[in-house]
Amino acid sequence: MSNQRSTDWSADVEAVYKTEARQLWAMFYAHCTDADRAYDAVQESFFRLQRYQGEPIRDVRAWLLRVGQNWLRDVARSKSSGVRSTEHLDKMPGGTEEPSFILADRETQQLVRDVLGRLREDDRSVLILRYGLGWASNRIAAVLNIKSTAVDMRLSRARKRMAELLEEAGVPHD
Amino acid sequence: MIDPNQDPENDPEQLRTQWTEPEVEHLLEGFFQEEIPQEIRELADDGVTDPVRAAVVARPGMRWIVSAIATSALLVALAWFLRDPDRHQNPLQVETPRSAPQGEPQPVVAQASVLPLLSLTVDRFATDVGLIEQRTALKWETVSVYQPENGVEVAWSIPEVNIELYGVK
Repeated sequence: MSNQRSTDWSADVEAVYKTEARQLWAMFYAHCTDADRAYDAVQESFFRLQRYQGEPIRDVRAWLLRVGQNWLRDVARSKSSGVRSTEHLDKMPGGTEEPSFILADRETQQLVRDVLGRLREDDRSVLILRYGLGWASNRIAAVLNIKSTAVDMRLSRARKRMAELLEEAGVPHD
Repeated sequence: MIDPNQDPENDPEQLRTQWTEPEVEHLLEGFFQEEIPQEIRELADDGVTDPVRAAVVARPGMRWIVSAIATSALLVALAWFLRDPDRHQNPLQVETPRSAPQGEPQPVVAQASVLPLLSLTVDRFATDVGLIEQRTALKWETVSVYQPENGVEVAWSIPEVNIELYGVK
């Protein structure tokens, strides 16, 4: 009986993971602008949901979001790690691209990341949902609980601000 | 030394670093292609969530409610099916091979039987030409066709709706 409950629960959590993980990753990324850490937050929040045995959860998505954001805050407080993945360096010896190009790309990627980090979190959220997940305004509006026109306005404001910051940071054009 | 008379619009150095909104859009699309982890990218995004699953996770008690609804629907379907005891004895489509008949193929033999009425509704309408009565009858018909050339008998059951209109004097 207990095993059956556990199996059903795992299947349910897995199903929710498949439908919600992308959006959660985007929201966590908007919070911390670190792709790997945002992914860890997704894993952590689902891991805790898997083990959860308390009172019924009213809104699973909100619950996962809160757990992940709290975890991100705890991590930020406990360590300010400046270490980043160096997978890109492993690609250099056997890769076809010149190392200088790869590093230039990485540098640009980091500059854009820094610029994104200077935006307001709600502006970052709409940019990630639109350009990261490719969502339409009405879908973003439903998730953020705002009007579709507000999403478009926020997107426009975020793009303009981003353009200013990119110029300020000297990020090169293609 | 900055030349105060120089038009910034025509300054190549200025133009090189200015970003337009479409350029920002293009940059962000490429940026997120690189930024999103492979595991997240691989998840299907069909634009819909599974509300039943989410509800079950949100409230474990919902599992029993969902199960109860599914079981009730099954029982209703079963009861409707068993309401006519002959229907389940006549499968919707059956192919029964028979031994091929001797000599010339016989004409196709068709048999049809109409089982008792399932429902009858009578409505009356007042129209310009007087009172009209509409009788809507739902019947269950079983048809059997034997094909002697290949020794196959095909039987099927179909619902039949008859709508008849009468003028009421």
